[in-house]
Amino acid sequence: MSRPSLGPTGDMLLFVVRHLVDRPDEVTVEMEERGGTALYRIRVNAEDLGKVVGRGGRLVRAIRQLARACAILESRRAVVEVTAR
Amino acid sequence: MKSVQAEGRSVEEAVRQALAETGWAEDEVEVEVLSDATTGVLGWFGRRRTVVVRVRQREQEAEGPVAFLRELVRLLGLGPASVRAREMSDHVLVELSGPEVGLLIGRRGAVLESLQTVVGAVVARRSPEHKRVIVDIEGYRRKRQATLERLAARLAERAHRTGARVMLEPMSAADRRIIHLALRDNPFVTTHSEGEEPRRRVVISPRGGPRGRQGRA
Repeated sequence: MSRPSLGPTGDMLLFVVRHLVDRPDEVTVEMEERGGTALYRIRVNAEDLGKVVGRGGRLVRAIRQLARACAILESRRAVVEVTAR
Repeated sequence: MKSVQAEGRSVEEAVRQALAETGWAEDEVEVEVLSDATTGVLGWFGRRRTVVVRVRQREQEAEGPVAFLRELVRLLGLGPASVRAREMSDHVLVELSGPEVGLLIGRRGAVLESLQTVVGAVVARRSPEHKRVIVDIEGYRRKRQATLERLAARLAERAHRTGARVMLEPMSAADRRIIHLALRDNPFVTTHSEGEEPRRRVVISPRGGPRGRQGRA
């Protein structure tokens, strides 16, 4: 696929989220950079949203923390947003 | 993702046909019904139902936690790393090691706990029957456990000696569990947790209640 590069953290997010949902081919990640912060917009099928968020938001919190740690490799901060398409 | 189309007189027949062609197992595929039509109007004898299905094989490459973590480490470019699994009696221990994977431990193991949550969710989704997976990085959990056990013993001794409750720093659920287990059979103290996540902390109390200002001793 010829998509704009998401960088290691974005690739990691796409890989992880695709493994959590029933419709992996409907997962998209877009990255927008502002200052030293990268905003990752993850979109999933509405029915898959709960599988990414997890009970009480536990899973999405873990995904965010993982993304923040990985973004350090790219010398930036990461903000992760997950929405239904 | 690989997929094939097949047809039959029922969904079951079409799926059987697809599995026979590809050699895939029923539990590793997803089925989508593309069309289901009955043709012929001349009563039952002239009728024919044709079902067309698409059968997709679920991605295989990252099924197990080992393959999943290998790919994750590769995507992050975290250098050469080894990922190995060990079957324990009640869980599978997956150990990551390498010069750069320490990044995934984080302060007090916070990132490791997140990674653990993610891997646990992926494994549970792929195979609900799977044993619990515990991820460790560079022996962090092992070392942390030894540190916490020493801390627990020291603070239990203090609680017993002074007769006062000892409150520990806020810790993750995994760390608190280590403290509780370490002191479970201690004859002089009891433990419980107080407060709300993420500031929940263990309290070690002398058995028989605190001998504080009331001076029951």
